[in-house]
Amino acid sequence: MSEKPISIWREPAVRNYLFTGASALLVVMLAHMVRDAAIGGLLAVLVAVPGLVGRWSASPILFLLVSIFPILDPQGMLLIAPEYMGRGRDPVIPGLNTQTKNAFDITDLFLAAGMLCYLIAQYRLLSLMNRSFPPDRVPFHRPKADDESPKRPAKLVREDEIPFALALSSAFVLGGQIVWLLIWTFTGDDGNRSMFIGQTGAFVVVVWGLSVGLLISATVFGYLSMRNASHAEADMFLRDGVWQETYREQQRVHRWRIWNRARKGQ
Amino acid sequence: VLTGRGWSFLILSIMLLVCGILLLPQTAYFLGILGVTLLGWFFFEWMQFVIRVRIALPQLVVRRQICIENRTVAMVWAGRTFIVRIDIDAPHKIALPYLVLEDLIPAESKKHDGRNEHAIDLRPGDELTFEYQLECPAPGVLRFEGQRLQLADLQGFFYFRTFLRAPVEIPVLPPLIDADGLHRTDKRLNILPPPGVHRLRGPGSGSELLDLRDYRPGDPPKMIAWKPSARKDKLIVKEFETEVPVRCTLFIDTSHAVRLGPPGKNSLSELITIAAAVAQAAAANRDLVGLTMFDESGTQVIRPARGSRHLIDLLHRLAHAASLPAAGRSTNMLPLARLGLSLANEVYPDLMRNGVNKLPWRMFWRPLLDSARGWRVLLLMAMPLLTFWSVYRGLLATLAFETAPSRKWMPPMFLLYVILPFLIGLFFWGLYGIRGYLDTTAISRRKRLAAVVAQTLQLPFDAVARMQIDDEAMMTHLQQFLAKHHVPYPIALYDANGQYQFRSGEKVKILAAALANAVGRGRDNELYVLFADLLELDEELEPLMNAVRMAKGRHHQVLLVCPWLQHMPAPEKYKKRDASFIPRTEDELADYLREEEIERYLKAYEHVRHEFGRVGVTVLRVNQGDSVRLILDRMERLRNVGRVRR
Repeated sequence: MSEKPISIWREPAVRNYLFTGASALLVVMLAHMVRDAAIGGLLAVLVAVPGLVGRWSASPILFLLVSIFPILDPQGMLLIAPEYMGRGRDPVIPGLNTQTKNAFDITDLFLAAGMLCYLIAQYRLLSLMNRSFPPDRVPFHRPKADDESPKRPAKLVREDEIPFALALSSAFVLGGQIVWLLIWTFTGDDGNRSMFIGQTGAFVVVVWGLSVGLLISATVFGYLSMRNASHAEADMFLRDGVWQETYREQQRVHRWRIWNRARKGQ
Repeated sequence: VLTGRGWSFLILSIMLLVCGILLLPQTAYFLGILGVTLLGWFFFEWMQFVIRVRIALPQLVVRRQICIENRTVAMVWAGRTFIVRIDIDAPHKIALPYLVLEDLIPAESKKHDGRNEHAIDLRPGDELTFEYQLECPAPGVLRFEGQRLQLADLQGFFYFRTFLRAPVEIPVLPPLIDADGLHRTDKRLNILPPPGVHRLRGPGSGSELLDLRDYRPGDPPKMIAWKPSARKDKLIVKEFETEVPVRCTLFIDTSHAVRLGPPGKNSLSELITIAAAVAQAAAANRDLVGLTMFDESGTQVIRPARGSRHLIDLLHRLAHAASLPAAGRSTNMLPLARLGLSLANEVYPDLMRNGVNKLPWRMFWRPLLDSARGWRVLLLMAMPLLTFWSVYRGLLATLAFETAPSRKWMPPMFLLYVILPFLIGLFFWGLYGIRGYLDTTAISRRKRLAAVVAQTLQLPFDAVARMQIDDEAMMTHLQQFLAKHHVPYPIALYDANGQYQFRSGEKVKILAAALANAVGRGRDNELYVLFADLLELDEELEPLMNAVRMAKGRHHQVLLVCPWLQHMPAPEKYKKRDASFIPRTEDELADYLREEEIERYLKAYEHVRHEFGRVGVTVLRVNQGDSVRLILDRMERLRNVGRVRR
């Protein structure tokens, strides 16, 4: 990869992603302010900015971690007055929305969309400026002296990429809300006769859904992989099957052959 | 493959979801919503990526063309640049937004211009082309393995590397030479014979007068020289020279000894470059050129002929000979295995993956009974059966009686003594078997590499199991695997007994037989050029000397061209060291040993020169002046003045 380092201010594609990420952060900040979590939101944005401007690869992860705090405790009361926690079943924290199954809250929609947009922009910027995939770790393969981190060239960014990403994030935000409602639809309260009850029930539903999704996808893609296998792969598959069935016996025979060769050599 | 970035994002998203649902449902429902949203997006990206890998990539078509001056060619010439053109046809329905494609360059070639690696965005139906310029400095065969593909998603969460194998071997013919430039330019004859026909000082039907002699009954009257007959007062007839072609047969040593070294820089390459130049110069003069390649196992003969097709055939054979790999019994598997693993991971990533090249957990268990001492443990475990023998039973009962703290403990103690050998054997059995799990990396790598080697070389089905335990088989097949892909590998010059592996008396016998055969088929004006490494073969030279004497006895010309190691100084430049010098330090000792090696080598060369000089054979070194000109000069001598009347 002999691509020269991209100047952040000269590549339109990079600039567009930078502005998208910055706008998304602004939305996140405003959403946090509406939720009375201005300080927490500001902290999250402060953590995110070095990632956008300075290619700090830990930024998105730290952004998510820092964002947990203003979501949990918008006004920081747990820090200021920790005695609020643990009193009664439902602690009453000022500014906290206590509706468990709440969905389609407009502030939440904007907050989720802003966070997802920022993450998409930030990760794509990192691919453009930092590294698009990890360097190969081929055993005993000595890397060349001029090996650079592989970056995605800015010229490959399509014109419709950012609009598509924005549309995608909106769709996933709405989809997330719907799935959240579905989870709680399948889960009944303590008094109901539902199969899955309460938090544990919701957790079981999620795990079950994820497992079934993964199982079906793995089966389909495994089948496609076998169907599209090359001649060499098919040959190798059969050879490996024979090896697995008989390798102990074969090795025993070959040990005798080695012994015989050694004896003749002496 | 999920990258570090992907893993961190996935774990954090799951954590958010679990927190949102399980731990803090009443206070932080938004965490759950966020977790579901992020996971949904991640899952969508994963699906997209897998579809690209599993469906779109197999539909990708990449073609390679080798072009010289905008024409597609099937061979190239050493020392000349050529263009490699890569055409890519995108899949029909699925886009590949970020793909890095690298055409692997053969190790023997040098890249001049252009790039062999491109990051591309392929939309359905796209057709892309890129070019780069290569040069191969030495004759041989270039092997283009295929294209390395790296696919990633736009966020850098997923990564997939594969290799589109499309091996192509392109012969690199020895460089074309200016034949006229290699010929002498001084004028020797007033009437030049037509090309390909040369004068021979023997009576024949040529145009040049050879001699006058007395008339013999039966001589045609038109041959009578009337003026000398009138002067001598008897019939004198004219004799003309004969006109015949010159035949040059090149004997090229392709044994393993001359193949040693990096491709294009070994002795064989030098020999072939000179032989090719001689063949081209002779062919340009319409002389007949033949070729005999020999090694330890046999010969390949091309009878002397002329014509451009014959010359191209010769050059093809020479190019293929130049790429022959050296093979010997390796004594160290580690360097071979490292090269093999690196190559397999690079070119066969699809065959190294777990789906087709499995590593079952049980394969690491070491079966005790397969070891030489396994029977002892088995005997130990069978010892409880001795309880049926009353003496042994009594012994155990006594032991239990002596060691039991009370009467009620006697039966359990007796039972313990009965099964104790079995338990000890079982312990050793487990201890022996579990040792395999301590070094799973080496075992896994060896199995995977063995499987790829067996598949690539199409070895029998038991080859994988054999290579897993048989080092010698593994090394032999690894050498074949590396040689097939033109990867130079280290070869031990000396075997386990300290003997030089590449000293071959057999090839001298084969060369002698080939030369005798060529002499038997030869006519007039034959030149035999032996390109052979005959140093340090003093005792085995006798058959060859006999063949050379036979050739000389029939008035043919013989030349010997010896390869010369690059790090050895020329004999005329070498200054002898002081005989009284005694090394005192390690550096001095190293210098001393090197001087010894040089002296031994020069002595061997002098010996060969002396031996062949005694029968009138000129011995040349490949790096001695202009070897090609010397050989062609010898051919000139054959044409014009070389022979006396028989």
